[in-house]
Amino acid sequence: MFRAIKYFLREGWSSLWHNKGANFLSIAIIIVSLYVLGVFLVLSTNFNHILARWSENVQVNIYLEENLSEPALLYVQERLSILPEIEEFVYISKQEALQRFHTLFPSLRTLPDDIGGNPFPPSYELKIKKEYQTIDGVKRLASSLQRLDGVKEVSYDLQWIERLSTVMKLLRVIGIFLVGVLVFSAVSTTSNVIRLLAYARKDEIDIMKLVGASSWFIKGPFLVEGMLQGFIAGIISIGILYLSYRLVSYYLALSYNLLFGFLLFTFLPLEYWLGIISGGTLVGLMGSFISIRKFLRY
Amino acid sequence: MIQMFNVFKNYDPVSPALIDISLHIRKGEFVFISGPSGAGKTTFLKLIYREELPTQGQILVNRRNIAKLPPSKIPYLRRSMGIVFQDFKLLNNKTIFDNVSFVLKILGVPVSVTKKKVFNMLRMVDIHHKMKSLPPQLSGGEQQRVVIARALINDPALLLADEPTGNLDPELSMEIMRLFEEANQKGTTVVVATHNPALIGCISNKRVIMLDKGRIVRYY
Ligand SMILES: Nc1ncnc2c1ncn2[C@@H]1O[C@H](COP(=O)(O)OP(=O)(O)O)[C@@H](O)[C@H]1O
Ligand SMILES: [Mg+2]
Repeated sequence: MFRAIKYFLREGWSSLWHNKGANFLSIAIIIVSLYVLGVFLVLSTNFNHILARWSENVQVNIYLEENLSEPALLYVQERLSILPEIEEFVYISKQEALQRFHTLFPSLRTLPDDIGGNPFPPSYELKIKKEYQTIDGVKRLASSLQRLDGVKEVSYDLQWIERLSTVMKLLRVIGIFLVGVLVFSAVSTTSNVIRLLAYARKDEIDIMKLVGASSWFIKGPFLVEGMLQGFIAGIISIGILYLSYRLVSYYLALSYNLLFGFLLFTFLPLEYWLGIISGGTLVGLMGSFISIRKFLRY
Repeated sequence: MIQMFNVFKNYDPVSPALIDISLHIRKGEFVFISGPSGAGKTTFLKLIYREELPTQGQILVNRRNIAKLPPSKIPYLRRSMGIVFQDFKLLNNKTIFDNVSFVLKILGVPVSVTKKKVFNMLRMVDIHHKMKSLPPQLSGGEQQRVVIARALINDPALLLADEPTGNLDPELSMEIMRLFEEANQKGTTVVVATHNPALIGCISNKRVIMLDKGRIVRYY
């Protein structure tokens, strides 16, 4: 068993080396597909980071009816303290709201008076617990708050997060499609290359059969060759991916573009590296497996 | 060891290669298949190692009907045999040493054992000095000796040799036949196809099956 694997490795490697030209083709196409996969993984990893970070800052405000009676106010307050999503809440009275406005916009000092009194309703500022800081969680909370007696309006700033997550969904669809197409073409290229190589060695294969080699024994080196193609492609594509990541983040940093500067602050975690490499190896294995089957009918 | 019952083989409908062959070759026998070129000797051997299937009739090797052998079992059938092919069938991009040791590699024999065994075998057929050469660098006679070494290296239960001395001078032919006889004495059943009557004379305890135009014409 061990001996056979050693033999497969040696033979597969020597054939890979021997047929550099043809093998280069399938290595190149596997690199391209893994690279595209990697780009999407990098983007979505970073988007996820941003989403998580932005969700932390989600603030929900509820605006109350004007002139709420004391018991009605107490009722709202009681409900707020019961709701499990809410970490803490702060009451902002009409007066405080006006004061905030004055400090924020000193030049518009006279505006409230111009439009006839204090236009700001009393409100609560809510801080949401971490585990509920998701789009759905916040939406659910908002709609239940909306139903409370005495609540006029609930506002929350989720637009950016929603947009970003729509973009991400879109990106994921495009990514899955593109990677699917590329993986398919990589498998078929590998399978064609291996078929060609096996065809060139048909006499050799026939002789091996005649002296009693099992089909696995004959297949082994070809499968190893395909796997090596994918493995090498996986390593190279991670290399290229990392280089382009560094390059892009360097230029983004230079451009001081805050939004996009944000976009690239992490490369792929190690599991993804391993995933890409083993994905490539699997692609190569599949390609050679598909093509070599035919040659081994007795 | 080998039984044939009314075996016919047609490559094409008009000229059959073998016609109604029935015979029994017992374990431990030394049998010659003789007859002129085109008589069907090679076809006869190909049926035994299942490169060809009979058009009609049954063939049992080791009491197994080889027409019914599942493909996955064919390698095991062939591993129990040593085959000297008329057209050699050497791996041209592998050295002489690797060609012979390949058989042992298939069997999973440890490398250290393989080395010694292959070297001894190559010495017996007097080709050990070309161990590192590739087959195309060897003469026909030299290649034939490599093929014989490969056929004998795994101490086969059955040795099938197709014109094994076709490219050898008489002296070396005798030497090879002596090797076959030695293997036979150690229990290997030997079947040698040859059109050369002189070869038959050098084995004492033997049987001869004579083919002509696909039929058994003499049997002694
Ligand atoms: N693969 C083949 N296809 C068609 N005809 C064949 C094939 N192999 C052998 N034959 C024919 O079968 C007959 C017997 O051939 P063969 O078994 O090689 O005889 P021998 O080995 O005794 O010279 C010959 O007429 C030959 O032309
Ligand atoms: Mg012949």
